[in-house]
Amino acid sequence: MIKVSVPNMNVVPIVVKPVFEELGYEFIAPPKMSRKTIEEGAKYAPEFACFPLKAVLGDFILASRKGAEYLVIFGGTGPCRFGWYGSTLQIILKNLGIPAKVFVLDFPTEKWARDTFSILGINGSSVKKLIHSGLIALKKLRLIELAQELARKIRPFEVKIGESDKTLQKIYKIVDNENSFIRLMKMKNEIKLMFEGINKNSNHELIRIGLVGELYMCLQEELNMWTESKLGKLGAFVDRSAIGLWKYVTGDIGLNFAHRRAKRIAYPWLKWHAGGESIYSIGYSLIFERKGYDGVVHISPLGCMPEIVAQTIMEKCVNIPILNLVFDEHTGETGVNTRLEAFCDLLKLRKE
Amino acid sequence: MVYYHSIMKIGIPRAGLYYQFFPLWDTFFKELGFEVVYSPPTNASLLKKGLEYAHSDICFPMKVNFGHVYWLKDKVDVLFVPRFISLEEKKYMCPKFMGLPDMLKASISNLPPLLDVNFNIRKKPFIRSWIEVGKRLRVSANKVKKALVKAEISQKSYQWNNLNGGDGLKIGIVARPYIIYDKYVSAELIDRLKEKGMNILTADNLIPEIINKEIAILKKPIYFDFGEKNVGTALHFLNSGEVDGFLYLISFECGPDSLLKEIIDDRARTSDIPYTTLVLDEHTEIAGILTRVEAFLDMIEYKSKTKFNL
Ligand code: SF4
Ligand code: SF4
Repeated sequence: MIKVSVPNMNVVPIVVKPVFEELGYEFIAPPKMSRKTIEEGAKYAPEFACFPLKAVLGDFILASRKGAEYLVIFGGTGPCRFGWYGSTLQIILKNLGIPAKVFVLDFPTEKWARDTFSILGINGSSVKKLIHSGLIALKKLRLIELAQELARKIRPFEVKIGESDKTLQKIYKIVDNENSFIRLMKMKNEIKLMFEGINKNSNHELIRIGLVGELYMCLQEELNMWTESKLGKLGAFVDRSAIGLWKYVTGDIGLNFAHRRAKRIAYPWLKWHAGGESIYSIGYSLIFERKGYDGVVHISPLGCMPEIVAQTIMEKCVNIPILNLVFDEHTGETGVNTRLEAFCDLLKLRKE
Repeated sequence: MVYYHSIMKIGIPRAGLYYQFFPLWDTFFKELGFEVVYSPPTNASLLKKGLEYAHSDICFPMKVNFGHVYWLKDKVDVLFVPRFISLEEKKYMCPKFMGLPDMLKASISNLPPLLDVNFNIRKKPFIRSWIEVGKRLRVSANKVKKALVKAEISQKSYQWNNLNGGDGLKIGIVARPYIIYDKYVSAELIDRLKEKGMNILTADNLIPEIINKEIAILKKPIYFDFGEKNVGTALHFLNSGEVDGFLYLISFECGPDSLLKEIIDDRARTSDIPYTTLVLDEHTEIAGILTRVEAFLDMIEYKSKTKFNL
């Protein structure tokens, strides 16, 4: 069986696993992202490449050591760098002597699309299987995003700090191991019950923070130093409605109304979506401001082109405090902690 | 609207795609009877303003761009800072160009009105963008079309880089137009090398067919504007041996070039044409660049001597 792997991106490995297995591949989950992943990636990636590329390279190197032969990544044709990741990664791996093939899910031309399908072994007879596994994958994604949402709500109130994170990890495992569609359908309540079981103290005032920024950095907790969870533990309700995998998938094809609204609201300030999440970062920040939130945390990797555009404009048009967190392989966790604490203190002070 | 009549002053920052379209823009606006005001060539005090107003993490050429706009803002009635989205079919400009007019508006106060018309060949031919420019300036579409014909002629006949044809070393320089032709940004590299009697070759000296041939080996087409031109030129230099060596100038924090460089590096590993990359930013000392270029030239000379002696 051919072994495939994908990069870590929050829960992507859990979500896509059933699809690859259904297609007859052996799925190799990349090792959980760690310091090691980042170091390996940063060592061999171009110095000025954006941080996500370095992390993905790290994942690919480690996954290929576990035996992965195909490394699958999404493509795209601009405007940002992401669409060129695949080609760059392939060159780097080749020069490292790693035989694994980078497989870009990308359809710039019709021939390319046909080749992609035929290499992946997708043909008439497997379409049914593919749809079935695709539905399972989507269900898993929805369940996990629900759990993450609940965790965000409960974190500021938990009596035993860190309990919702533990619950979340448990749920990841359960969802990962469950492959029956019927049982997945029934899991929603189970997840809700698990979170309801967490002890809460409800008597303290909340600060509310909106999270915006570059998709990958916002979702990959190990890279953003668990910003979301730390803010929660500092007593803040974090609204991550701006970013999410489901949102990304639907937003990209224009099916997400919240995304469309954010775009409309940002339009007077940025008249063209400059790639990445630029226009959404601005739009949602404005929405958070209107909703009366206390602050916005903006997460981006160093040198990220769209987010620099967004940051420049947000400084002018958003009238609530913004914390810009810029990450690269040298970012230290203590520094981030201090800044998060200071920011939450500031917001609490302003509230009084 | 503040648009009055034909003696209106149009400000064009001498930065960014000025270095790609200057002949066209100049002829176009002058044909229509406007007065065109350019910012001076980049200099230290101009850059200082750019550094003050632009985001500190943005790339060097964009900081330069901000400086030029700042210089012009009180001297003109309207600023020509279009939004460049796509210059070629199936390509995109870098996101920073897409957001440039909006970034300027957010960062510099008291700007005159911006002619921030979209140039997006994926959606509409440039002529329609020019007609829109004309509309905002109260000029009829017919006049615009006429002016554009002349403007395109001067664009085509403009020589960006003259070959001097001596028998000195032949050095190629690959870079984005606003890096290579901005003398301040590129530390006057072209002039300095030419003074020494060398022949300088840039992408503008190659015919498109050559570049396209080189690019054809890439499995996936490059979707960045200037990407194919630069990579194709570099590959041509490496494959053909038309030059004795070449320099690749990139800006620190340049998104597209940080990745495209890998393609060139990869090919260079198996080519014996000397090649080096110079990374430029606002802190680069000219002396430092020159030392590196000299070392590079020494290497070429050493190499070509050993070649002749064989
Ligand atoms: S959005 Fe930012 S991080 Fe993502 S590819 Fe573009 S520059 Fe890199
Ligand atoms: S292409 Fe590179 S140098 Fe040009 S604006 Fe974009 S990042 Fe800056």
